[in-house]
Amino acid sequence: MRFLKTLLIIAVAAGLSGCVGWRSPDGAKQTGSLVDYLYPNAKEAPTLAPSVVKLRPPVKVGIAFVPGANWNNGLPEAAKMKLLERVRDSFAKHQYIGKIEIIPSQYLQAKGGFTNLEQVARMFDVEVVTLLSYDQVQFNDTNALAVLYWTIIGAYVIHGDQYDVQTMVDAAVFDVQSHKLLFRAPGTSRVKGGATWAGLSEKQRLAAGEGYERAVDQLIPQLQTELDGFRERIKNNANYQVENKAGYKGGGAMGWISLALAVLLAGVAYAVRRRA
Amino acid sequence: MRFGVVPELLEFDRHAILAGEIWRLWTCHLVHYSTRHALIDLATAAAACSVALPVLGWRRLCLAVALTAPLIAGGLLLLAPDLIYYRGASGMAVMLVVLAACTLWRQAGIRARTALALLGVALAVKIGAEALGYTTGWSDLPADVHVAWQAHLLGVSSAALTIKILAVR
Repeated sequence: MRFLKTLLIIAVAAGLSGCVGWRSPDGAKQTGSLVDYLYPNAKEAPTLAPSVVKLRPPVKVGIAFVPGANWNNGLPEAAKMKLLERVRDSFAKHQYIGKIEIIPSQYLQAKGGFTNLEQVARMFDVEVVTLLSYDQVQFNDTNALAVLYWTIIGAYVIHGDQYDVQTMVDAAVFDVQSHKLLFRAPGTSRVKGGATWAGLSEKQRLAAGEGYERAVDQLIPQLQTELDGFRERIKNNANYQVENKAGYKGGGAMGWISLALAVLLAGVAYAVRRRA
Repeated sequence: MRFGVVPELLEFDRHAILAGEIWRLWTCHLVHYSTRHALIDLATAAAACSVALPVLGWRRLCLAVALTAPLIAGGLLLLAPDLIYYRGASGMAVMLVVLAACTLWRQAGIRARTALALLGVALAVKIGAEALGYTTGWSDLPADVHVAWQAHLLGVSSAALTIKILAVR
C-alpha cells in the first residue's frame, strides 16, 4: 500500500512538472528581412551603376511588407493590411504623391529580388515601392510566483510569467527603375507585461500585434521627416531629376505679353472714345 | 487652420470637384501660385474690365464673370483630363479681354479695328505657342507648373458665348 502511495505521488509530481516542461521557455522571433528579399544569396555587396533617378510627380507609390522567412512568419495578412492602410492614409495628402497602392504579401515572392519587385510594380502600375521589413523578438521569463503553478489553480490566476516583445519596423523607399534606395525610416517599440501560465500565449499574441502597432506609430512621423528631408536634398543633387508628369499641374498665366496686349487694348479704347 | 491651407481648398482639384466640391469651379480663378502670378492676371483683367465696363455696366459684367467662371473650369475638366490642379485668373482675363475688344469693335473706326484685329492675332498666336509648349521666358508660373493653355482657349469661347447671351451690341 505504501509503495502504491509513493508511486501515485511520483506520478502526480511528474505529471505536474511535465506540464511546466511543455511551456515554451525562450519565446519566438518573427523576421521579414529586406536584404533577404532584395539580395537573396548575395555573396558580395551589390553594385549600383551610377545613374540619374528620375522622379515624375505625382509619383505612383506601392507599399508592402517584405515576405517573412517562413510561411507562418509575422503578422496575419489582415493585420498587415490595416498597418499599411495607416501608412498610406498618412501620406495620401501630399500633392506630389499620385496614388498609393497597397500590395498584398502574396504578390511578393520570398527571395524574389528586384526581378520580383519590378514585376509587382508593373502589375500595380507604381514607380516607387515602400518596403516594410520587420524584426520582432518575444522573450518569456518566469518570476518567483511561478512556483504557485504547482497548485494548478495558480496556473490560472497567478501572473508568474513575464513577456517582453521588442519590435522594429523599417520602411525603405526604392525607385523601382534604378533600384536606388531613396530614403528609409525606422520605428521601434517594446511591450512588456505579465500573464498567467494559462493565458500567456494569448497575451503574447496580443502584445505582438500591439508591438507592430506602436512601431508603426513611431515610424509614420519619422518617415514623414525623412520624406521632407529627401525633398530638400534632391533640390541640389544632380543624381536626382524631378520632372512633372505632363499637364498634371497647370496655371492660368497671362504673362507679361498678355498684360501688354491688355494695355494696348485699353489704349485703343481710349483713342476710340476720345474720337467719339 | 493655417492660412496656407486656404488656396488648397479653393484651387481646381479634379478629384475634389468630381467628389462634389463644386465651389472650386468658381474659386480656382481667385487663387494663384505666386504674388507675381496673381498681380499680372489681375492687372490684365482690370485693364479689360475698364474697357468693357462703360458698354456693359456693372450688372452685366458681374453676370458675365459669374457665368463664365464655371464654364472655363468645367471645360478644363473635359478638355484637359491630365490636369489635376489649376490656379489662376487668366482664363477669366482672356474672356474679359475678348469681351472688351468686342464691345469696342462697333464703335471703332478702320484704324482701331485693324489694331483690334492685330491684338486678336497676337492673342491667337500666344495661345497656339502655349499649346505647342513654347512658353519659356514669358510664363510667370513656378518651374513645376505648366501653362494651362486650354483655359485661355476656353476664355475666348466663353467670351463668344457671353456676347451671344448678353446680346452685346
